Amino acid sequence: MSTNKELNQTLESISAIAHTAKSQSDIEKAITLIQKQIDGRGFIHNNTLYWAVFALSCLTVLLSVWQQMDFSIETRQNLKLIFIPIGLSSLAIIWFRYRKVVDAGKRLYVRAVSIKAGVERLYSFDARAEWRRLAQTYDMFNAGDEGQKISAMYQGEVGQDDDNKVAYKLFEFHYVDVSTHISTDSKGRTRTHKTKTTRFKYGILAEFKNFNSISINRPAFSGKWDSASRTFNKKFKVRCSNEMAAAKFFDPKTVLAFVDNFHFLKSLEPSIDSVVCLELPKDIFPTNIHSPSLRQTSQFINELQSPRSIPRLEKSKELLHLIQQGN
Amino acid sequence: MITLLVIAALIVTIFILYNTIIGNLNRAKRAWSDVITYEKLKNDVLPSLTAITDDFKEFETDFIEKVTALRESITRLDEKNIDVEALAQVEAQSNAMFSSFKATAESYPELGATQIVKELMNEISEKNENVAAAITIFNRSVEHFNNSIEMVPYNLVNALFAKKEKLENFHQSGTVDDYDYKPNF
Repeated sequence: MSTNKELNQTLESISAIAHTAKSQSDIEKAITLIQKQIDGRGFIHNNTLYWAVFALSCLTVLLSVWQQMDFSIETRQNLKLIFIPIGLSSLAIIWFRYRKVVDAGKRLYVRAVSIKAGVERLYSFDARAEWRRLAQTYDMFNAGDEGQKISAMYQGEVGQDDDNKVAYKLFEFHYVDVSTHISTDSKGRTRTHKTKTTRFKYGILAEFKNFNSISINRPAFSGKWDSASRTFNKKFKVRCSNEMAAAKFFDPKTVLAFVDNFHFLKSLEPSIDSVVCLELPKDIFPTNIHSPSLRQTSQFINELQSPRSIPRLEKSKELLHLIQQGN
Repeated sequence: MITLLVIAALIVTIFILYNTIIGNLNRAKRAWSDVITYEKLKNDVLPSLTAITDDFKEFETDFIEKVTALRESITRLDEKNIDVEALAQVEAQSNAMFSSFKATAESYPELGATQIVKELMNEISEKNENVAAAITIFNRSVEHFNNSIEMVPYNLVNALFAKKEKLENFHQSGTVDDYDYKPNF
């Protein structure tokens, strides 16, 4: 079997494990595959043929522009038309092969990180329909002009016993902002330019027993509440259906915890049935964690054996626990 | 015209600085009021503590006296008058009483395993944590207020118009005194 074919098969097996792995022992199977591959050629494709084609294309294009060559104008043009696409295609193939290795490694590492964090990737949901459903309940999802969808989701649980257990979903919300600029040239003609910017928001949806009367940094209720802490009031604008509920939940211990430990919380919005939507920074999401390269194999294996934790996600879990305790 | 504009800008600035000082003082007062509220909530647990000493003879004879002294000190705390020394006394008595309660529960495992003792321990601990957090918030508010009357240009507005005195931070007596190192400010 050719070395490239062998490497591609290994990458497919790694991707399959990255898709289905449930525990660290599944990751260990992938590590065994990686170690076998190191004994062979490693994680670098044999691109000699494509480099040669690229070099040949460059040379031919150079000759086609060199005036000393006795080529007709038509021949020169034909040579350029043929060899520029061939050279670029060779480069593209080399690039795709490189990405294949890097992406397979990233997928596997993200899976290992999410297993360590106790979250499982969800695949069976309609990204667009899920966004529509959430946008009906939560203000946070009413953003962007087009392309809104829940692009990735993970699920997990926090808490030990049944009374304190909280089921939660991590989500990545994708949307596109479209801005229109009108410019006028010196002759008075107007031109319209559209700029599209892809943006993401991250957060957690968690189901509590009874938490539906307080929101933070979202105008979900008409009542306002503030604490004795200036830092808390600057960072968090609390709205509530009744002040008593807010005062009871935000005892000094909770206020201090929000100021010192959960200052990264961007917003909190509950639904009537106590499913709370927390907007959080992007570094809670497993796919946003920096992944080592599979091409630096020994370092990759070391990191795969003891994957990094996601500190923000761990803190967010503490926040969920605090909310569960407080209501 | 320019002179009038400068005077108007100066008056508006003085209003803003004055209001900031008063706002910070009121926030510190509110933080103090929270401390006292949570300190007084300890009163809810004290009758249960008195009852438990009657049921279990393992408690030292002076435990009931500690509970009574704490109750009296808590009653003397005033929500409107910031008195950190009175608070320090209550905190010292509260810590002494809780330490004694904890030590007794640990010395007698049968007592420590009793449901009512466990619940009381949790409740006292919860209340202590809330008081500690309220004190932290109070100290931060005091620091912010003190900064706002000492820093330029607030100090000028305070000296001329607001005339507010510096507030005292709360610190537990005995915690700082034991350190050999003393900062030179």
